[in-house]
Amino acid sequence: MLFNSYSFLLAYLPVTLLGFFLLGRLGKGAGATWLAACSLFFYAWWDYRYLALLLASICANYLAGSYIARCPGTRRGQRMLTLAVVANLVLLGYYKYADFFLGSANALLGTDWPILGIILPIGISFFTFTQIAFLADAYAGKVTEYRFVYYVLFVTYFPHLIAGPVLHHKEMMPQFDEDRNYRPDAANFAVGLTIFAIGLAKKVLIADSLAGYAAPTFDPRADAPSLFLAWGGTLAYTFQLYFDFSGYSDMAIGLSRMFGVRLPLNFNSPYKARNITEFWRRWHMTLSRFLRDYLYIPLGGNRHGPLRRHLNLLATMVLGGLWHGAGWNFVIWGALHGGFLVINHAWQDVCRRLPLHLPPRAGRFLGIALTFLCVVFAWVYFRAPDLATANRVVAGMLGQFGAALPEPILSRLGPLKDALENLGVVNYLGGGTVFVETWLWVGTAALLAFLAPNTQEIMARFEPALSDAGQLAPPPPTRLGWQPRRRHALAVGLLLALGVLALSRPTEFLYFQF
Amino acid sequence: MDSPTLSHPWARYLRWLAGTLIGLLAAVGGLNLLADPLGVFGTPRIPGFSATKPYIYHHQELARWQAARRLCPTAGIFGNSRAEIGFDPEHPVFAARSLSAFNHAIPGSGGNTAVAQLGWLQAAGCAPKIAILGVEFFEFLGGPAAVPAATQLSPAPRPDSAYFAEAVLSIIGLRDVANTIATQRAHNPPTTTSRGFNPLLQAIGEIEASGHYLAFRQRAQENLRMWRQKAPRLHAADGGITAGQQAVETFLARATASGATVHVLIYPYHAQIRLMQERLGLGGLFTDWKKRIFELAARHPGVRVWDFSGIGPETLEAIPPRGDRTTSMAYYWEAGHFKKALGDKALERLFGRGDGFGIELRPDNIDAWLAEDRRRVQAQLSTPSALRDDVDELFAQARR
Repeated sequence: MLFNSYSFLLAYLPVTLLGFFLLGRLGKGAGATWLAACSLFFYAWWDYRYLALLLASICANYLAGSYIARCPGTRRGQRMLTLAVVANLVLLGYYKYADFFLGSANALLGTDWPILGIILPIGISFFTFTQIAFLADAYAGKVTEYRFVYYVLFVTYFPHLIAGPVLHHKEMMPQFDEDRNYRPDAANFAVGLTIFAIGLAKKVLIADSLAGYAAPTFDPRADAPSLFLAWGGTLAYTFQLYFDFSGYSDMAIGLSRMFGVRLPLNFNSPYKARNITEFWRRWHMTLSRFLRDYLYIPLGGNRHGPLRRHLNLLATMVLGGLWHGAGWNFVIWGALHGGFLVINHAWQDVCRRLPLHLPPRAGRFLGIALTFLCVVFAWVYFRAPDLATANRVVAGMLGQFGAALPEPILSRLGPLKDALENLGVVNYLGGGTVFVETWLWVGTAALLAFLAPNTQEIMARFEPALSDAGQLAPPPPTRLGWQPRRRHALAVGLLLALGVLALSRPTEFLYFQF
Repeated sequence: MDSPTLSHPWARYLRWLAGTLIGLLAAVGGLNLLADPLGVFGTPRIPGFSATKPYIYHHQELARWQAARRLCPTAGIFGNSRAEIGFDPEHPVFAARSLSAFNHAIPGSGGNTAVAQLGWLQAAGCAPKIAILGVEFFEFLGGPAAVPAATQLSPAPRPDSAYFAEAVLSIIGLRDVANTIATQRAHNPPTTTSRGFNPLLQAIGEIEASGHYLAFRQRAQENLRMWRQKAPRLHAADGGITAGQQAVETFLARATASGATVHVLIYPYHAQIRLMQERLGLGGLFTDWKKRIFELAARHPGVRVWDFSGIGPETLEAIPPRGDRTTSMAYYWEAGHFKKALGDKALERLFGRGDGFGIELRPDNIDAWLAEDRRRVQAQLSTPSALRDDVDELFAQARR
């Protein structure tokens, strides 16, 4: 069931809300049980075959976590932690990576091991990571005993179950135990519905509109793309992914807020980042937090000198890439980002020693532009279905297949036409409308991504989401800040109406595949 | 943070939000019902608002069927975009025979759509007395394994809940309403007549802006890419008959069973297409296909087959050179799509008023005609001409 579907909005959500608040009157346990049951139903709607797997994973991890929490920091606890983490990784490895490893081994060794054709259980990456964090914190003595139903709810809570945000038990369990969250609250509804409307609009009005312009570029059967087509398609995907995933995160945050529960912030205008380190503090923030706390720091972080820090960064990002999908494209994507981070750290070390600095505005502009270019370049490997397609698109972006404009556009450029032709730009027939639409959509999306305030800035007065001390500070309120006023109700009503009008053919969120 | 205990502003906000949402959705739905962009609801046409319907690319089967059902025509034109654009059901030849005609043709559709449309008409008591069926060579070419013909008629499309969700209470529905209003005052807007004919008015502006040459060239490049992807055979992958052939057979059987006279029509492709086919090595296959169409038709009484694809003055109409934006071709938009003027000539020929354009295929002329037809194409290819140069250039470009 998609958030952007009639069945979710007209049936699932109202029934879940109603049941939650009615049963909540009987007690927190009843309300939480109802919400957990609804969340499991939500999961089963996708694929009931893996419901047992999800439940088994929850039970085993709860038991292991409870055991570890009773003996934190001890050898006994460490043994159980190791066993439980290995079991989680084996499960994830089997479902997500078995075919990848078999395929890679066959290619490298010339073997002929049969591919298993395993179907990836939806959300497995998210619920595995969530629970590994729980186990690690139990060992660190950070886990307080909570009721099993809260744990089930923490893992299965439907707003985050399929594609995050990656939750941390310490920020969720206390909220599930909060009495007032079991009573309906108009403020929570108003704030939640508004955030949901913004997220829905991002997804169905912007991301889905961009999808059609990105897909042809990454079609493995497509012709080699010329310069403007390669950039148009890649930029369309760059903004599609941002509006899709941040839209999903907004919808999750908004939905959860209706139940009185705040989810952690997951996006903070990542394309406005001035360097790649800042980008990762703004993009998929909860995953970055997880990778930092449970991978980078345990690997040694920056505690063993610059070389080790760089290696740790690279390893973290490669594994982060592999987390997104079992394929060499994701490994390359992760390695590229690891490389960018290493270069960024090295460059900042150099900059500190330089006596000269760029004027702040110029530096900021150059930093944003360079970071954005690096991110766009890496997205090619993230999006392309195979390495050959990715390399072809990159070659197109570098102009190796020439530069061409649709004939009707080139012929209308007046004196610019001759200049472009002298530069080697040729014309091609057909595709003029698609070309213009692609760049109009890319331009519109870019204006919104770079210049408009983000959801958290718009809603800042009402603490829309939890923010983590290790991430960037939560954004300050903007002049376009939202208030529970009539004109804002009209604007959000319009946005929600447009979102609902675009629901007729719901499309999946891009991050569901991970 | 503002205090959540101040319930009044929050409740008022939620009421306004809900009111705006419901009001806007109701307005969009109401406007769509009133403007009825697809003509599905049969809402009265309001001059200056919805009298002229825009050409809409979605739900075409439903729109065509609803319009046809209301008219209950006695003559029907079936086929793909070539028939939709080329044959005007308001041509006087129909009225002269007291026939009320409707153009059921839908772009990109195959023979199965025509079979379904015929079935719905028959089920509604509107079986056509005359059916004109345009057949497409490329639908027969390199087909996958044929699926057994459906014995049961698929239900006629109707404006159900899915339609309301997709085309009424939707962004698409809102866009269609805006499109309908804009169409009323637009110069040469894309539109469909109440009898299903698409006069392709919007192409007039496009041709004025870019010229016929580019339209021919662009379509030829697309065709070349598409044809090269097809296996050069008329039978299905498993050796059986193709879905295209099966659909034609079914159509002929069902139409003649209800007493209809069927005119099977081979479209008047511009000679550029014929020369390209020949260059691709598909010339012989095209001849075989015509023979097969003739043989299919011969199995049913009351079926006549017409070939308008032969090389002749009409199909050889000169393509204006590159850069010529002033010459308007008399018969063609581009090689695959002919204008109403040529469609009119074909219709006149069908109804015995023609001037020699096209030929009826009969047992006594079929073999001689097919041989002569192929010879003419080959002669065109061996004789220097602007058209041959154009085809040569196309193939050279494709090789690059």
